Amino acid sequence: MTGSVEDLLAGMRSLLVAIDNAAVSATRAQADAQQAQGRYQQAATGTAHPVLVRAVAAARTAAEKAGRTARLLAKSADAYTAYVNKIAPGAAGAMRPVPGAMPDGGELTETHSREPKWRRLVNKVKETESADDGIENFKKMANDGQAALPGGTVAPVRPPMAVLGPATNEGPQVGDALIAGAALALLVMRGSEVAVNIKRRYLKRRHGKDEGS
Amino acid sequence: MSSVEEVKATLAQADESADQARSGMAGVRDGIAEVRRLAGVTHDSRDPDVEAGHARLRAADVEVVRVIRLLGEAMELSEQYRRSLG
Repeated sequence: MTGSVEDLLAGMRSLLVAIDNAAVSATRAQADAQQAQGRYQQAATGTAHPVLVRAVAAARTAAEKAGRTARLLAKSADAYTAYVNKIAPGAAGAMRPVPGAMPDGGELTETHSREPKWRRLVNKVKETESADDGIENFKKMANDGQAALPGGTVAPVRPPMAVLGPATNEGPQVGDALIAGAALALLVMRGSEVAVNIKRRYLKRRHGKDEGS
Repeated sequence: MSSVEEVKATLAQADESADQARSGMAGVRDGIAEVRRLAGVTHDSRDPDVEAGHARLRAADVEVVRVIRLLGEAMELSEQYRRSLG
């Protein structure tokens, strides 16, 4: 890669970051304008005063146009990204956030409240009360445990907003692997207990039969 | 039915939100100016994608100015109504 192309790509990277930031600000402004519109509307409840009606309309149009600004900025970034990809195919991938890379508040809350697989696994262990079906459950849980390992559920690597280089999220994955490992160890321990109980029952029954015969 | 004071308070909240939006859009306008400066890196390339990018930036800039004007208008109207309430 020649120096001039590198310079161009560095410049385009800054440009895309600046556009993304402007688009985010426009989206926030849209939300504020919508809130203003809602409050003007609330104040206008029960009155058809033309001045207030005009205020509501102005705030509404402002909110719509702020949203349009954000969309235009996003489209502009798309066009520049296409240009970058012509110069250096694939280079734009490291410059721009992957769609959906930044989860919104709702998504974060949902993800947080979603029970992780390893926890469901541990709960399953707790639910296993009968030793007779313990082994079957254990097999099933062990299989589930395999699925819960990060290797079984490879999440796409999502770089953070406006990354300036390749980004990874190894931290959480390593953490997940450790947790899943701990869950499996728990399962093994619990499974051993179950096996011992079955054996104990079997020996007890056999002992009883031997005494009876 | 809300009292006059309640209506005035609601209008004040609305103006605050409108003012926030206006400040935000002023920031967007500065951001676009910066982007247009950075776009100089393309050295006026005639590439259709670059031209499309520039055109959308210009359109965004026009919208920003309109949004700022509309929000100012909404706040002025709100003030006018508040005055009419006494």
